Amino acid sequence: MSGFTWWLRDSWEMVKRNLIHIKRTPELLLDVTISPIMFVLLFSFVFGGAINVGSEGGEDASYINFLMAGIFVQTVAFAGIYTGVLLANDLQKGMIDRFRSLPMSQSSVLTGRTLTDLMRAALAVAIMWIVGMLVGFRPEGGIVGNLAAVGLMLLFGFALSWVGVAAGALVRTPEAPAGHHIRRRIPADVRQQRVRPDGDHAGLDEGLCRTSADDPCRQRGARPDPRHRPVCGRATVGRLVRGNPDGGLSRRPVALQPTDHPVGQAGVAGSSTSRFSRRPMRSTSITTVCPTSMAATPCGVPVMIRSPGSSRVKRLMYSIR
Amino acid sequence: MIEAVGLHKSFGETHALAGLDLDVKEGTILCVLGPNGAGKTTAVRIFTTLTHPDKGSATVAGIDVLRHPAEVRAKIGVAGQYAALDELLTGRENLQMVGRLYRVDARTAKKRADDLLVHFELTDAADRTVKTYSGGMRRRLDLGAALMAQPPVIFLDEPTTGLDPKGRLSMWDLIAELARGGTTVLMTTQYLEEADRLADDIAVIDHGRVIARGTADELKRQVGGERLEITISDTLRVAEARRVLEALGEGPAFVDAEGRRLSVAVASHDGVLTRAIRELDTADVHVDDIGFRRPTLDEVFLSLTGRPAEETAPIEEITA
Repeated sequence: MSGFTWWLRDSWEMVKRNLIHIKRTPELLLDVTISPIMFVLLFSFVFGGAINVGSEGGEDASYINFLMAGIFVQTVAFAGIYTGVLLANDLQKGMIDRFRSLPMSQSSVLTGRTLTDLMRAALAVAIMWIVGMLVGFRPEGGIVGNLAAVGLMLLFGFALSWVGVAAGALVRTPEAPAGHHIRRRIPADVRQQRVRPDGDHAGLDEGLCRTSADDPCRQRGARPDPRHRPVCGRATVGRLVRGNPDGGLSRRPVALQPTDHPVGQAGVAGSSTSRFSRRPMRSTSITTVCPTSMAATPCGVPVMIRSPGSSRVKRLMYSIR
Repeated sequence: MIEAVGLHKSFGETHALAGLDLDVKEGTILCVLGPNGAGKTTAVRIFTTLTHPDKGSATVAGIDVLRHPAEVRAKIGVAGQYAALDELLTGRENLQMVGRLYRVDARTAKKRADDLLVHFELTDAADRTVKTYSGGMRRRLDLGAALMAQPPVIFLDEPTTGLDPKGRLSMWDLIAELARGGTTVLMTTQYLEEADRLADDIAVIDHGRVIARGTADELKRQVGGERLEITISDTLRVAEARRVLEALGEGPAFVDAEGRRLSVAVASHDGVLTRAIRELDTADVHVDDIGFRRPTLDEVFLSLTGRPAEETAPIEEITA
C-alpha cells in the first residue's frame, strides 16, 4: 500500500475511535443536534418579531431566510469545539505518546479529529436545514447553489476545527481550549453580523433599552450600573461603538471584547486580545453582541471596551444574569 | 539489540541524561534501576522515538532511532508508566485498534487480540470499557497492546508502579515469559526486588548516567562483605538500634520501610555478634532476630548513591 493509502486507513481508524466515543458519550452530540434547533427556534420566534429585515432578506423579506445563513455558519463553527479539549486530553493521558510510538501515519491522529468534526458539522447542517424548513426557511439558491453553500459551510467548519487542533496542542490542560473557542467565536459572530441584519436596529435597541433621556447608560462617561437594565447597557455599547455622538465614551471606534469568564479579563487586557482590540470594528455590526452572547452563554458574557492606541484601558463589564 | 552511546538530554537547567550508555543483548531483560528523576523515563522516550536526545546516538534492533524512527516504531512495543489506553473503548477494541495501527491486517489483529485477552486473563472484561478496569487489568491490557505486533523489542517504563502485590506478581510472570520467548526487554523500575527477580542484567542510573552495571550478584559483590541484620520488636527504638549498628559496622545502616529490619556492612564476623547483642541490650533495644547475610539491592543502591532508592514506595491502586 502506498503512503497515502496508509494515511487514509489510519485516519479512518482514528475516526472510528472518535465515533465510538460519541456512541458511548452521546452528550458529545448535543451541541450539533439540540443546540442548533434551539438557536433556530429562539431567534426566529423570540427575536424574529422585533427585527425588520428590510430589503436584505430576499424578496419575501423573511427574517428566517436571513437568519438561517448566520445560524448555519455559527453552528458549523461550533462543531469543532471539543476538538481542542479531546486532543489535550489525549495528550495528557498519554494516548498521543502511544500513537506516536506506533508505526502509523502520525498526522492521522489529527486528521481523524478534524474529519470527525466534519461529520458532526454535516449532521448539524442537516438537522438545521430540516428544522429551518419547518419554520419557514425557503432557500433560493437552487440545488447547485444550496449544495455549494453547504460545501462552503463545511469547509469553513473544517478549517476552524484545525484551529481547535492547534489550541489543543498548545494548551496544557484539557479544560482550557473550550474557553479559547468561545472567546474566538463570539467576536467573530459580532463582526460578521451573523444573527442581526445591518440596517434598522432601532427597533431592537429601543425595544430592549426603552431609551430615555435620563437613562444612565447614555450619560457621557457615566459608568452604567450593571444591575440596571443590563441589556440596555449592552445595547448602548453598540451605540458607543458606532461612535454615537450623543452618548458615547469615545468618539473613535472602539473594539469590543467579550470573554466567557471574569478571570478571562486578565487575559483580555493582555496580548491575547490584541487581535481584536487593535482593529477598529465596523460600527454598525456591534449591536448584534446583544442577542448573540445572551444566547451563546446563558450565564452572561462580560464585555470590555477598550480605546485603541490609548494606554488607559477603560473597562466596563456588563453581565446578563 | 538495544544500544545507546553518550545520550545527553536537558530540559532547561535540568540534565535528565548526562552521557548515558546502555546495551541490551537479544533475548535478555535489562532493568534500568534508579530513583525518581534519575533519567529512566527520558531514556525510554528516546528509544521509543518520542524524544530527541541533545547529543549521542541510539539504535534499536540495529536501526538508528534518530534517522529512521518510523522503522524503529514497527519493531518495538511500549508500555508506559501510565497505561495509555482509551477509556471509552473496550479492552478488545483497544487491542484491535493498536493492532491495526501497527498495520497488522484486520483478521490477524482480531485473532491476536483474542489470544492476548485469554492469555492475560482479561476474557471476562474484554467487552467492558477500560474505564471500569482495575489498575492491574489496565497494566496487563497496556502490555497486551505493546505485544500486538509481536515486536522483537519491548520497552516497559515502570510496569508495576502503583500495583498491588498480586498485580505485581502477575506482571512479573508475564514479563519473564516474554524474555523466555526470545523478546528483548528493557524495563525501568524503582523496585530493587523487581530487578533482582527479573533482570538478566541491571544498570543502576543516577543523575542521568549509569553508575553501576552487572548482574544482581555482581552488584551485590561490588558492595562487598557481609551484612549484619537485626529485626527489632519495637519500631520506636529504631534510632537507638541504628546508632549501635553504625558504631559496630562500616558505613551507613540501612533501615527497611517498616523500621523493623536494620542492616549494616561488617568487615569480619569476629566477635561482632556478641558485641552487637550486648550493646543493643544496653541501649534497651529488644531484638527478635539477628544474623549475617549477603547484601540486598536496596543496600547496593544505598552504598552506590549514598541514599536509598526510594524513601517511600506507597502501594496504591492507580486511578488514572
